[in-house]
Amino acid sequence: MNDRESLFDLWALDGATWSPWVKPVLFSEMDESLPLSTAYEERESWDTLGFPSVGSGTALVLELPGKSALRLGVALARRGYRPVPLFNGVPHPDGGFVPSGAIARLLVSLAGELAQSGLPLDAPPAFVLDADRMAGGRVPTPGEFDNRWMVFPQDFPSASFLASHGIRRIVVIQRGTWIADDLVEVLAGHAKGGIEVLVAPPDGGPAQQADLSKASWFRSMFYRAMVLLRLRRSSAGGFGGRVPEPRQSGFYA
Amino acid sequence: MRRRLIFDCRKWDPQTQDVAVLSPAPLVLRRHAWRELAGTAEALFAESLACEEEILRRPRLLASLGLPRGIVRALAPSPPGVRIMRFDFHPTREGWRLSEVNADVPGGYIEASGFSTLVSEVAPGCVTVGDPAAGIAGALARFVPPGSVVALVHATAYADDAQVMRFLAARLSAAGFRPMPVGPRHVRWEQDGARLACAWSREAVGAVVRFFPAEWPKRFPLLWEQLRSPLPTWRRLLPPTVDPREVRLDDGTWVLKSVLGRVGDGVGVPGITAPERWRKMCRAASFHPRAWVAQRRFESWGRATDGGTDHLCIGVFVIDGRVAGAYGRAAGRALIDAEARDVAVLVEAEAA
Repeated sequence: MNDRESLFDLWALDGATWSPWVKPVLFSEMDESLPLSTAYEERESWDTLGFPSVGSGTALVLELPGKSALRLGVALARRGYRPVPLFNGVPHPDGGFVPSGAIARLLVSLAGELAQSGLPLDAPPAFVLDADRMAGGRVPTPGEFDNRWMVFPQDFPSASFLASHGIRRIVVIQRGTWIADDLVEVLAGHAKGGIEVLVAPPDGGPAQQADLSKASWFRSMFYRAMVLLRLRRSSAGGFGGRVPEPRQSGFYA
Repeated sequence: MRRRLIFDCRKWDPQTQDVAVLSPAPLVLRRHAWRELAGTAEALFAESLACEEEILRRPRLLASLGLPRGIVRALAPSPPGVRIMRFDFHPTREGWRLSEVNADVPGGYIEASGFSTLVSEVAPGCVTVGDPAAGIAGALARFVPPGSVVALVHATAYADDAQVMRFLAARLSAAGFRPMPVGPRHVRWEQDGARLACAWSREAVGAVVRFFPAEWPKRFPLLWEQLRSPLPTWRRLLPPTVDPREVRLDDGTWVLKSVLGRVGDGVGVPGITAPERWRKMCRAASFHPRAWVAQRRFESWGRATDGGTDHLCIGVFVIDGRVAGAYGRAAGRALIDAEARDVAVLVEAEAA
């Protein structure tokens, strides 16, 4: 698989229910900012037996470091889940503050495995994130290319869309129970729309109710401040936030 | 079409929550309709520049715009450069209405240049109304020679912005420039001009394209009575716009707009905006009236589609006084916001 468009078609299979949400950024930038390579990537095996069975009305959100999340996503394809990559960091030939080259290479090298999974078009989704998207709170130095990213409600299907496709619960697969600020806002919206939200460890251990009260005043205000600093959720132009100091990201640093 | 846009034009946000944002139905204008829009937009551009110059000569007027003091202090007459504005028109039964101008950093280049061109290739008898990306390349060529480094300054962490800059970079590269998508802190100003200050380049910069927006103030119409500039086109097309304290917001005839809102985020329309949100906006406008304007509501004319009714907005780009293309958006309700879909704007081809 060495053609970026064919690769994208494979991850965003035409006609599959969740394909419209696959983020095109990494695919679009292959060849230019990202060398398209099938270089061998070290293997990481996942035991997915403990995960919810397909047919249980469950959508998964894989909130792990990008490469692990992607490998788990493809392992889950064998269980009947369709991995939906939501990587939205902008790659840079210099690597960028949040490197995305390894994830891009995995998209290439795991494509064959995904193609063989024979998933039905309506397979339930496993949304694949990179838990390192905000670089663990580190701040780029002035010369670095800031390509941290966040997730927003617009990046996911709505609660009503999920429900209309038989999804009654979301299980976030991550280490620990503390859900990242941006993701907790997204999930709080789903919970408000009647979707049960659980969190479970990646080893297939038991799921527990997600603590979405953490979309609390402080975290909510922090998140909103981050968003307000750069409100651009479409290319329509303009913005509506106060930017105290122009930085690459518009974030406070 | 979706895939062509993703890979040829860097359209990275073709889906917004449940909305596939690329409308399959282009908007095809009659030639006379486009001529009217284009001429009107160019007139608005000239009037806007005249107003800006007057306001900058009379700093006391700036205080009325609701801008933060830091921005007011930083404002100065623009040095020579390329100026781009986008005027947002809406069809009504009484003719075109203007809702606002994006006079600082308008977006929509991928859609106005890339999407419209791709759609025109499969729409017989139609042509595009322009190509703002080509317009920028042409305008830059008047200031810097081919081969110059052009710094495309934007918020690099936002894919929504980065996609526009990568698209523009490809177009500038094809025009013979050396575009560099960078963040604001990657450009250092030195005595002999600007220079890149990033880990991958220290080159001298020939031109800077700023895609890092400042702001356009929606309280601008509140200054009109104090201006000497006549503004005939603005006055004809912009619905009455006043301080929210001057009107009854509960009578259903006024729209609320936050002074610093954008992409419909800070716009409330009674009967369309959720009641709870509308009440919150009214309360906010009551507590902080200088952060809001009230604009007389106009009845948008919607075109019938298979899925219902499309309310349309045509953003007409003007670059250095010349019309350069249009960015179309459509929504199922009379509010163009982040959920609106992108529409290719075309015009009937002239008969051979």
